Amino acid sequence: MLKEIKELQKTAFSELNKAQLLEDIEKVRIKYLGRKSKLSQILKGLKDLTVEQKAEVGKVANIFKRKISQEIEVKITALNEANLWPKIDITIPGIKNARGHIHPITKTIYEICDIFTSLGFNVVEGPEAEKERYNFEALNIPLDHPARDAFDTFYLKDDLLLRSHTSPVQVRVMEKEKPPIAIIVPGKVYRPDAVDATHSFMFHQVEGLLVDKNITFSDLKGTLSVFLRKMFGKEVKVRFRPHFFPFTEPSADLDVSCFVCNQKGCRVCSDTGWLEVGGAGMVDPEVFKAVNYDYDEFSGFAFGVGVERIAMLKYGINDIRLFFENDYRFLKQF
Amino acid sequence: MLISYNWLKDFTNLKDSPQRLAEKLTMAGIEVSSLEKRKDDFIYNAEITPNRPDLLCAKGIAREAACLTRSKFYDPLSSTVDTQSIGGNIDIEVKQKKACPRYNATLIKNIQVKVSDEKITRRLSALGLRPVNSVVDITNYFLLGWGQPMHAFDYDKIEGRKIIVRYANKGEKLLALDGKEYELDETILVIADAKKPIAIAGVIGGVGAEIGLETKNVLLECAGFDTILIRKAARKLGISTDSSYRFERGVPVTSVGEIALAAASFIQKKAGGKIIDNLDVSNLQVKKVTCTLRFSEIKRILGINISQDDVKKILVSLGFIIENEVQDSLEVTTPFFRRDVKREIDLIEEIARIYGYDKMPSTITKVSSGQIDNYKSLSGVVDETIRFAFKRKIHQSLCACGLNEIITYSMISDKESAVFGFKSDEVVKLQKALSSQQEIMRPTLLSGLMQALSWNINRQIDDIGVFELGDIFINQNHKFTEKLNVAFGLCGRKYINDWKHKPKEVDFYDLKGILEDFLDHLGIKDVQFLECEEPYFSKGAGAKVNYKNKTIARFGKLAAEVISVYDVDKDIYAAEVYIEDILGDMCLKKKFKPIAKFPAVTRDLAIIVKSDLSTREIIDKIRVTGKHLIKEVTLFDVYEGKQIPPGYLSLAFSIKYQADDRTLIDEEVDEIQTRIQKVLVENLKAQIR
Repeated sequence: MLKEIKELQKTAFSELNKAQLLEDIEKVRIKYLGRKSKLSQILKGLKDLTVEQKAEVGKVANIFKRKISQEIEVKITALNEANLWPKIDITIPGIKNARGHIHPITKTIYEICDIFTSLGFNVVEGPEAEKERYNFEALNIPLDHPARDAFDTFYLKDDLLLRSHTSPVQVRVMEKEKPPIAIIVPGKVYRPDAVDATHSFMFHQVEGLLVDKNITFSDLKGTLSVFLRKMFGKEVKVRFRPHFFPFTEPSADLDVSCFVCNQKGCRVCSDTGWLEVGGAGMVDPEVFKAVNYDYDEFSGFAFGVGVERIAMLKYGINDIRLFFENDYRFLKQF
Repeated sequence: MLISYNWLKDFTNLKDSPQRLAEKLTMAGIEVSSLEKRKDDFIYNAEITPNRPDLLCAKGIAREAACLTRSKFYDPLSSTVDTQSIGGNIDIEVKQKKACPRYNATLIKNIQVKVSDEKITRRLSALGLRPVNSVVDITNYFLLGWGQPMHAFDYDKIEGRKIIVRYANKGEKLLALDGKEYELDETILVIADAKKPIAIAGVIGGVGAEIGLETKNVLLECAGFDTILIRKAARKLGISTDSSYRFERGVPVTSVGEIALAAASFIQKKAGGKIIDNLDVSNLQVKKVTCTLRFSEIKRILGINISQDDVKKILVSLGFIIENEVQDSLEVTTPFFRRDVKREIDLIEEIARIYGYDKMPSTITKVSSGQIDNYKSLSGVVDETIRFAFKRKIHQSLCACGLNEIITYSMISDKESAVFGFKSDEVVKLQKALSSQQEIMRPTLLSGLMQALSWNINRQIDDIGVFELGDIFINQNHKFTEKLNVAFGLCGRKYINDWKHKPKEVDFYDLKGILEDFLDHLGIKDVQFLECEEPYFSKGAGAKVNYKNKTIARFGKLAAEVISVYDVDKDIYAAEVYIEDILGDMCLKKKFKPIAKFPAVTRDLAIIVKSDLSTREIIDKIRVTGKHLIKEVTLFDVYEGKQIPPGYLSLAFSIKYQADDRTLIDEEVDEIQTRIQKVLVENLKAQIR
């Protein structure tokens, strides 16, 4: 009988070793440990044995039972653990919450404003419907002057127009406040241009103004260099090129080195290696006169950049109309 | 403007290569945008800013080039005529002396009009002018070379042999050299003969006195006109010519005499004939423009130390005259061709430009007087900054709700504003619109929202959630106002591209949920939701939000008449919030409330009520009855159908009880719950389930 049990133990363990699935293990359990198991069959013969023999066989049988149960347990745990992972197909997409997107123009405005607020500027906005004085006269843009050509304007009624630039806000703030002034002005502007890939009758600008004692052209250069390199990357070169604006003197156009072609020449920079991104200059004495600032005491610089232009360069967008079509496939990219 | 590199060499002994010169010009404010090799010449395309009419000719550019390259500058112009010796043969009457401060006419007789020689035709064509004949070409040659617009008349076609400079009479017409007939009026200055206009002063000549191959005698006009007058005339007639372009910006009148005679001599040389007479009618007193330039001011504005010598060299090479020099300043006279330089700051710009912006240092400044006191004085500005912070919060809040920001045009069509219920005296029209699609300043953001939805729906993108933050423009009680609004809209389904949840059509409550969340986020509490009858919402599906007795938002399902204007036939749920009205109440500050120390008890309550009873009323009753022990009442199920009689609804609420000072015991909660049930049954005829 002892021999029989030992045989049984051998086959049981070999069968258990072969069992790969939970069902197979269960079969092994039933076969060797169930009520109708072989062991039970063998143990039925116990009644014919002596007390000593009974004790001996009982002990062996119990050891066998314990061993096989333990082994089954281990095997089931291992199998369960192994089964735990293959149950999840990690390649099925996760469940996403609908995420909203900020318009690339707004994003760019925030980016610009954040750079300047970190330099101590305050964000100010002004009305889009503006008085002539703020849009033109106080900015030294006389009526019937070719300088006004660049500022063609939509009129709503007499002395009410859609601002053609954000510069009127400079005047509004200076009229109200005394220096020091450090402001940054984002907003919509309007010019009656026919719409095409690079023109729009509505677009966005960010204007800046710093007025204080002892502000120089060098400060203009330094501040705007910091801005442009934060905006376009440390490696870009910044160039200040003389230009003309009625409200600044001296005036400059702002160029950054073309980061599309690394100044090797491409379509984006018209092979010049430079990208114009805005204008700047020292506030013209006439503007200070219009707001009763003492030009001998204060000086300052002003600048303006086109938001669409910057966003188009930054994101590689080639058509300004995309900003206002609001195609979902466009909006969701930002 | 096109510039010929070779032509510049007529005026200066340039040594720089065309490329190098282009760079130098660009960095001095004459932006050369392209450079093209043409045979043995280089043609620049340059942008000339409106303050520099002196650069609208080869001579002007050459002067600048000579200064930038330290080359010599000279003018090859010469005339072989002694102006003093002639006169008495030409009849000119300048009726408008202010409009025409100088009129110079030269009579050349017995010429032979031919084709111009190769040098002239080549130069003109290279710079984009079509060669015509030896007389006309020479006037153009002087226009491009010396910047002086001139006009040549066929003397024999001038009726009465008399030139009158006068305003046109209303109804007078002129068939101009561009082949178009222009209708003139009394604001337009003309050159007339004894009977009729023969040219629009400073703008374009007439066909009547045109130079042809048969022309024998030429009257050459070289004049100065009022800039504003020419600009207005050109704009009114809708033409811009090389002549009007220059006169608008300012052509110096000082040099008119010399140039006239030089041109006449040139004509004599190229087309034969003899200069018979030159008459100069001048009403001009040229004022010398002199100003003081302080070295300290250069330093104050530019932030650089530049030597006195360098300053003088720059100014002199640009044609300025140093009248006087003292220790710390210069007395400088502006040359007649630089009318743009009138002030000390203008001189400083000239120095900066030639010295080179790139050579100036870059510094960064702190706002010097940034003490607290001064920031106080910026209070207005600080308020504005907060406004911007609110806008940002709005962007973030709606974005977090899963909406995508759109930016639409501020102008809409008449039809659109009408469908949203705006009357014509409430809206603001553009005086001159680009198209009927954009003729009215939007009085609502819902129109732009619909445009964006329509754009996407037409492209098979149907499941959309968008918002726009922007200004609207209306006449409120006949007063123009610009206000900040926000609008958002939903259509299609949610839970799309989601294998776990079934897609669900968005509805009124999805919209309302966003609105509630949004207002809560902005700190706008205690609002009332009321029905709203605005006809742009579908009947029974419109609502408004009142706050402090003001309507601050309207929302609902847009009416079929509205969406059909945009060719949309899907259900659109949209809201508009009048942000301007709540800006003052919006709150960026949050205050911390201590977290409850004692556990909460939650009990459910299911009731059956008539379906027209407002849920708001039930919740109010529950809260009033339970007083401060009720922390939250949540509606978690609405059911109608089987087991519920028609006209009734089953509502299930979850009520959260909590005390601030103790742990509530069951008996206490049971007691309140029973009281609530009783109140609901007695007051609202509810049936407890």
